[in-house]
Amino acid sequence: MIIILSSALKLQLGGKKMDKLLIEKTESSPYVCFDAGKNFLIIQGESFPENAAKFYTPVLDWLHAYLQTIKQEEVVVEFEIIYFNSSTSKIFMNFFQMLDEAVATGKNITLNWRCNEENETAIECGEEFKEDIEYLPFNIVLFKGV
Amino acid sequence: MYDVFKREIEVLENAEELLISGKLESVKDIEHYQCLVQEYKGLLNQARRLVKIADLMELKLKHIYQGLEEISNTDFLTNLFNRRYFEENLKKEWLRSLRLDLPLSIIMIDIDHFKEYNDTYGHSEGDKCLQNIAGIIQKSIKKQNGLAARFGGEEFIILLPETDLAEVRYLAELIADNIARLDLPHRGSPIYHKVSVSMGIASLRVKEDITQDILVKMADDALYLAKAEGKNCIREYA
Repeated sequence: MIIILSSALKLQLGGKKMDKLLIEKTESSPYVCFDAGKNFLIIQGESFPENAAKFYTPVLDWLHAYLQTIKQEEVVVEFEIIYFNSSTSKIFMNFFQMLDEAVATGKNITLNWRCNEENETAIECGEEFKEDIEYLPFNIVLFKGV
Repeated sequence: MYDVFKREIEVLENAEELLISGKLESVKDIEHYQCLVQEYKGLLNQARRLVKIADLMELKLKHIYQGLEEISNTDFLTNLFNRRYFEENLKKEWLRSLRLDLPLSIIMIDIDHFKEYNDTYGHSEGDKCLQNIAGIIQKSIKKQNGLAARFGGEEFIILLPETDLAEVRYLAELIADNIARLDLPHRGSPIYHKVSVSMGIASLRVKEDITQDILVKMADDALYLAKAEGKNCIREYA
């Protein structure tokens, strides 16, 4: 797992400095790129790390800190996950819960669950995740090809 | 209907009973307890979704596995089984035939003058010819409990459990007739300028002191004889 925390990308947000979180994709873990400067967060690939809690700790920590810094700016979060294990799905639920609570308190966040139009499993999983949240706008976005 | 979360539902029911029982006296306690019950309900719903998502993923993996299994057993060009799958099944059928004292037979088929066919019409047409012959073989053994596979380049093999020599003779004749009826032109062949096949058949009752390779060798020897005796014919291992 490679975590690149580029000091050049440090930003001044709400009086706090946020690094860009960049984790390169591996065979068992997804590409993560959380860009506070662009208010664009993306998780892409497959997720079945041996220790999902360990892998996602910096991701959830970053999100928690980021949610403290934002106000009304438009934030887009994208998930494009082909395959994930059970521990990952629980972590995703916790992730969406954090976003849901932030939206409940007035933050402007949208989540796009992106999947190939032929991947019925990913679509159905997206629908299940959507059921679990209350306030967060949760769009299932279908695309063709790869 | 059985609920996989039966125990969790019982806990919730007990908690709700306690709320209305009057055992909790202070309003603060009741409110606090109600909040916990609500949170538990939410987490239970989440657990249901997690299990459903895991089931969806497992089902997808199962389908992928089935697809891969099919690919690994099939000859890509002809859609018949491949040699690996044939060998696996020969071993299984050999043991079953031994256990139940049943006859086991094999037909080996080779397209005559196939090199000349490729030279005359090109490899793409050669592939189509292989597909046509494979289709005829598959159709001809439809009513039998047989397994047809591509054995090599232009060579096919059929495994026929519970089939004796008389039945295998009939089946080989049927395949030859069906191929003749297909009437595929073959300018490069001296045999009526049509596509034809040579066949070797072998049948035996499995015994403990021999191995399954013997049966394949017998059919192969018979096929060699068919080719040596002018092709476009069926020969039995004697």
